[in-house]
Amino acid sequence: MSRVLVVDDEPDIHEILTVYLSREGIDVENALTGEEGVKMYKKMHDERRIPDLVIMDLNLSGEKGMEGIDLHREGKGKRMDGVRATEQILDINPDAVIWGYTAWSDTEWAERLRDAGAKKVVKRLVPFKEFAEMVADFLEE
Amino acid sequence: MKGEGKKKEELVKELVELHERVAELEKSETGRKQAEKELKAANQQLTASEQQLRAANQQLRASEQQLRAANQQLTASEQQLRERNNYLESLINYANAPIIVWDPESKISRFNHAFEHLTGYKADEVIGQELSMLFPEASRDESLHNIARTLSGKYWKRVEIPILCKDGKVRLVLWNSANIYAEDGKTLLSIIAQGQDITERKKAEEALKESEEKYRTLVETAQEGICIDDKNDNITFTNKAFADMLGYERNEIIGMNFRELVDKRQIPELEKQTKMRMEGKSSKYEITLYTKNGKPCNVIVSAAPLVNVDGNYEGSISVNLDITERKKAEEEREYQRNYFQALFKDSPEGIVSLDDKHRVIDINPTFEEMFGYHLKDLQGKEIDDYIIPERFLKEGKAYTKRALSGKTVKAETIRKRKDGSEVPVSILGAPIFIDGKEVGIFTIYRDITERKEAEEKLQKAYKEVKRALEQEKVFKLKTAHYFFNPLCIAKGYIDLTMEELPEEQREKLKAARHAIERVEKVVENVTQRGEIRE
Repeated sequence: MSRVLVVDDEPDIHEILTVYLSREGIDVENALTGEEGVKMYKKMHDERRIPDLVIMDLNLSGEKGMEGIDLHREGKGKRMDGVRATEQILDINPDAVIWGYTAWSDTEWAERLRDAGAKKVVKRLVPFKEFAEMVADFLEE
Repeated sequence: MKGEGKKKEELVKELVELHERVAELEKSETGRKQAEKELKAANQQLTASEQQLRAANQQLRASEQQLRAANQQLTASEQQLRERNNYLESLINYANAPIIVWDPESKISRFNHAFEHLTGYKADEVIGQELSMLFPEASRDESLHNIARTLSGKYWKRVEIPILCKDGKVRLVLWNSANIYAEDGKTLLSIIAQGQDITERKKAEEALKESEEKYRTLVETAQEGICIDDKNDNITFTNKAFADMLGYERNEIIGMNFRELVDKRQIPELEKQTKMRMEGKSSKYEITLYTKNGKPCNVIVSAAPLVNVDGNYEGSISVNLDITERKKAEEEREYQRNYFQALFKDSPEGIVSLDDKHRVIDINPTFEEMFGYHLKDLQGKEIDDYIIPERFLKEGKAYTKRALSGKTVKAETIRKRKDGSEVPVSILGAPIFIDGKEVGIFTIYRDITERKEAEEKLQKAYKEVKRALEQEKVFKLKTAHYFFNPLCIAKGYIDLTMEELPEEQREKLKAARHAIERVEKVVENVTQRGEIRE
């Protein structure tokens, strides 16, 4: 069975993605922050349950105000953003496959995510079901 | 006279005999009377004889007088003949023309001084010698043939005979000759020939001919059009170049009047020039002629008068140089000169012309205005010493070095005015090459103060706009984020909920989902395209 780690600060996203990915026969693990995501990836890696794919949001601040999000985006926030989480996961496993799935897909932030090693950045506008099918197709390959 | 002499002697003899008979008679008494008678008769006879003798004597005296008169006449004739002979001798000897006389056996009998002078021989060296000695071997036979013709009674008529001189040189003599006959008119006594040394003339003629040939060749091959016209300006001769210059055949142009060729407006000038020629003056002037097909042809005419042997004006000769192309080139150069002068003087950019030592030759008014210097302040001086601020000296020297090495300099920098204030300028320095040699530099200074200010303003505005755009972009992104995430979540839950409901209950959720999608579309259009529409 394929395994996916979803790193997103929205629990609702976790819930919906888990439903769709599970239907595709994919085992889903969720992390609400970057730090948690890195930690979980490390654990899974150490347990030899390495995720076949990491689905990474960019904004992992958990903030609701724009000011906090801006600091987070600039790397000055309290938590690590999707870029730094990606870098750290790739430090753990350079072969890790990471996709962005974010509402910030057309921004310079998304460019930095690609530069950090993300193989793909998918717009959040892509419906969950369709996205889950994309993931399934990829994992089948 | 001789007859008269004899008669006289006879009479004397008879008288002696009579005297003897008288003596005999005296001796004889007998015969004395007889004798007396005889004596008387004899006396009478003697008287008669004396009378006769007297008469004869008178006759003899008359004859003697006649004889004396005849003798005197003869003497006078002889004198006259001698004088004439002397005259002819002198005439022959001292004649300017060489004269020679030879006998029918071709022996030279006379050889005058002029001939001596001509040949270098003295008369006594050649008199009695064969005439042929005077002819060079090469032409001897021909000369002797001509002499033979003379012997046959024919005259030479100005025949050119080469004469061999004593020093071996040959001189050419133009000869006339004549035969001299005895009183019978048949016996040839001698031949006389009179010559004229034409060696120098012949040489001169040859030289003239050669010279004429040279001039003819010169005229025919000359690049310039050469033309001769008469006193009425009718063309009587042209070389090919002149005809070609105007597109005519020579036979077409000869006979034309110069006025037909010249620009009508310049006819007064032509007439003025013709008048000068009539006054014997040469001149050089510029005139416009027209070719056969009507094109103007600018010509520099160098004309000189032609006069006949009496000094009367007969026309003129002219050398016509086609300067149409040169004129065009000059006009083009003049145009370019004026163009560049205007460009230099009226340029809105400061221009300085420098020599190959980077010293100022000229500056334009804009330069003066830009830097506050006048030409007299800078002329002949090193420009870098005046307009480069201290801190830019190194840079300025580097530019100078580059320009002097034949390279173009383009830069933006700061330069210094006469009052010490600084001015931002763009510099374009370009070397000037003439015939491949760098002779100086042109440097163009543009005051870029306004441009710099404008650039700064633009830069500032650009930054402001950029910041505004960035803010707008960030705003859009944030907006998108704020909208998309909840909307996606809403759609996700609707989709999941719809799956759990029977078909008939799904309609309202579908409508809700559709409404969410419309909002998504609006947000996407606003954030990505700046348009508020679904």
